[in-house]
This record gives sequence, C-alpha cells and structure tokens, in this order.
Amino acid sequence: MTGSDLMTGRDSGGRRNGRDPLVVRAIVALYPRQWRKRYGEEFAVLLAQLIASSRPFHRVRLLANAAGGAADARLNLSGGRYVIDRTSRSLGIVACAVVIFAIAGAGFQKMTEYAPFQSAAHQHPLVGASFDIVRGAAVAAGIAVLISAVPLLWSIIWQAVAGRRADLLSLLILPPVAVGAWVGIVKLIANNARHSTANVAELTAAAVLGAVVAGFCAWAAATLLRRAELGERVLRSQLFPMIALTACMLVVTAADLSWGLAVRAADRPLFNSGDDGLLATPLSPSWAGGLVVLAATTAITAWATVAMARQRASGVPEPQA
Amino acid sequence: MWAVTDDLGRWADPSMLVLSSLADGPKHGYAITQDVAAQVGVQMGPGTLYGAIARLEERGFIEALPPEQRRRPYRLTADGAQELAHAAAKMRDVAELGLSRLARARTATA
Repeated sequence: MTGSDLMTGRDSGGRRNGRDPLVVRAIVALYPRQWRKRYGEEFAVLLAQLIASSRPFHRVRLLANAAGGAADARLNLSGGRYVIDRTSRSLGIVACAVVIFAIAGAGFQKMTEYAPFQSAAHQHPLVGASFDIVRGAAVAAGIAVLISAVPLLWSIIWQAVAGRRADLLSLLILPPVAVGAWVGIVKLIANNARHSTANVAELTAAAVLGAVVAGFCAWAAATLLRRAELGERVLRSQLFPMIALTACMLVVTAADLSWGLAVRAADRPLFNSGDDGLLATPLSPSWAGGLVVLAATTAITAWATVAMARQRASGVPEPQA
Repeated sequence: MWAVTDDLGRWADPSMLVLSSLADGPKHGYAITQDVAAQVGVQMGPGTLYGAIARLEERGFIEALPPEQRRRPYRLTADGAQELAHAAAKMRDVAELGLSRLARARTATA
C-alpha cells in the first residue's frame, strides 16, 4: 500500500479496503471517546470521501482542519460551549438565590439580636442550639461561596485586566455597588421607621428592592460568566462547592424552622408578639416569611446543583433513532 | 430568544452555513459541504463542519435522522428555522446598511 493508498483507503488495485484509511482512523482517534461514539462513524465516512476527492495539497489542509476539530472537541468535552453556557446560567441562578438567601439570613440575624431573643436562647437549650446551628451553617455556606467564587473571580479579573475588557470590569463592579445601595436604603428605612407600629410598607419596599438587586446580580453573574469565556474545567470544578453550599443552606433552613418551633413551644408570648419581628412587624409572620424565602432559595440552589451535576455527567447527546 | 451569531462566537458563520444548507431539506455531512461550496463558495473542512453540527444539535436547531449506511442526514428543526430566519434578517439589515452607506459615500465623492 502506498502513501496515497493510506489516504484514500484503496488498495493498489483501486478497490475499497472495507475499513477506513489509516490516516482517517488516526484522525478520528484524536477525538474524545464520547464524541467518537456519537459522530465518529459519519465523520470518518465524510473525511474519507473528502480526502478521496481532493488534490494532495488540499488533503493536508483537510487533515489539519480535522485535527483542529479534535482539539476543539477536547477543549469542550462533553457537550461543547452549550454545557458551558448552561453551567453559567445555573451559576447565575445560584448567585441570585444566594443573594436572596443572604438577605433573608441577615434579616434573621438582625431580628434575633434583641434582648428577648438572646434571653430565650440562654434559657431554652433547643432555641439556643438552633440559633447556633443557623449561624454555624451560615458561616460554612459563606466559605463554600468563597471557595466557589475565588477561582472564577481570579480568572475573570485576569481576563478583564489583561484584555482591557471594560464590559467585564463593569459587570464585576456594579453588583457590589447595587448591594451596597440596597443596604444603605434599608438602613435609611430602618432609621426612619417608627418602632411603635408595624412597618409593613417599609418591609415590603425593602423586600422588593432586595429582589430587584438579587435579579440584577444574577443577570450580571450569568452575563459575566458567559462573556469571560471560562474553561469548562473551571466551571465543572464548581460542582463540589455548590453541593457543599446546598447542604449548608439546607441546614440553615432546617435550623431556622427548628428555632421558630422551639420559640413557639418555649416562649409563646414572645412568638405571638406584635412588634418583635423585622421592622416592628409581628414575629410569627416575619419568621415564617423568612423561612419561606430560605426554603425557596435552598430549593432553587439544589435544583441548579442537580442540573449542573447532570450536565457534568451527560455526554454529547445521542442521536434520535 | 438570542441569535446564533450572539451565542456561538467564532462558530456563528459555519453554523449559519449549515442551517442555510439544511433549509431546503435534510442532508448528510458530505452533501452539506458540497452544497455550501457550490452555493456560497466556502470550503468547510470536516472539523469545522462537525464542530458546527455538534453545537447546533445540542441547541436543538438541527436533528439527526436515522443513518443511511454509515452516513447520517440532518434536518432543520422548527427552532432552527426560527433562529435562521432571525439571524439571516439581522445579517440582511447589516448588509443593506453597509451597502447603502457605501453607495452614498461613492456618490458624494464622485
């Protein structure tokens, strides 16, 4: 067999060998296994056909192009850019959930810093233990967020500075500014609120503004992750911090439920008080509202984590029958 | 709904070529390369073609049909047709803008 025969897959008599030419098999072998399973057969036929119908000089270009395709498939293993985009969206959703979760957690912290709650925590072991678990799990959740965010931020900041990407820089700066503005507005509301009556309107305004800020942060995070062209490996490494984050959020939510039930059982007058909740609102709806927010954001984070795990586990899609 | 050109980066052009080629009916890889070469004069390499096919299939813009021997034809999905129409309209607007301004500039300098 000559060099030309190796390229065309024909023997010296010009007949088909019945197998793909060696060079075609060698090129197909460069692609990832999952990709070969899905596209290998038809790609080999196409490559063999194109080689057979092209002139020697063009064959070199064809082979270079086919080998370049293998590099692309390996860089975007298991689904290409789409997986990256979907992972970015999952992380954006989680960013939104985490911001809302943190706001609800801060509300719980603020609500329980007053003397009646400190006293209840000291007098009733279950109230105290639930409170400590909420705080401990919240700190652990913060650490998980840091573990997740630091490599992403490092990569994005490097790209923004090295590439002079004003769009990335603005997307990095604006969310903290928005959160800072929200905190300032809530402080203003709290400072000007009357503590003798329930401030339902102020609480609603703070919650709505918080939701808007969280939505903006989620959009900024998803856009940032998409535009920064992060490698799939960096994004895939987010799965384990997200699992840890979900577990911590679950613990916080369960402990918050336990705390409320323990206060209700141990100190009914405090639980039924009309102005010990957030911004002098009744305690029980304040606690229940916060619990619903914590549970909802935990569920969203868990769902996004499961989606990311599925994306990570899935390969190139199987063809329809 | 975002356009292919916004979402696929450097793969936008090959993807548009594949979608356009499939707009008049299902084709397998070799037929797509021949159609694109004949209609547009662009020689798509096999790596480029299958990079675009994999991305379009993942997004649900094209779908594979049952294989014919070792070749597998692809066809445009409804989403793919909508995406092609959207992206092609956008490209037409850009082309019309560029051509009209060039014509105006030539008239002004003549």
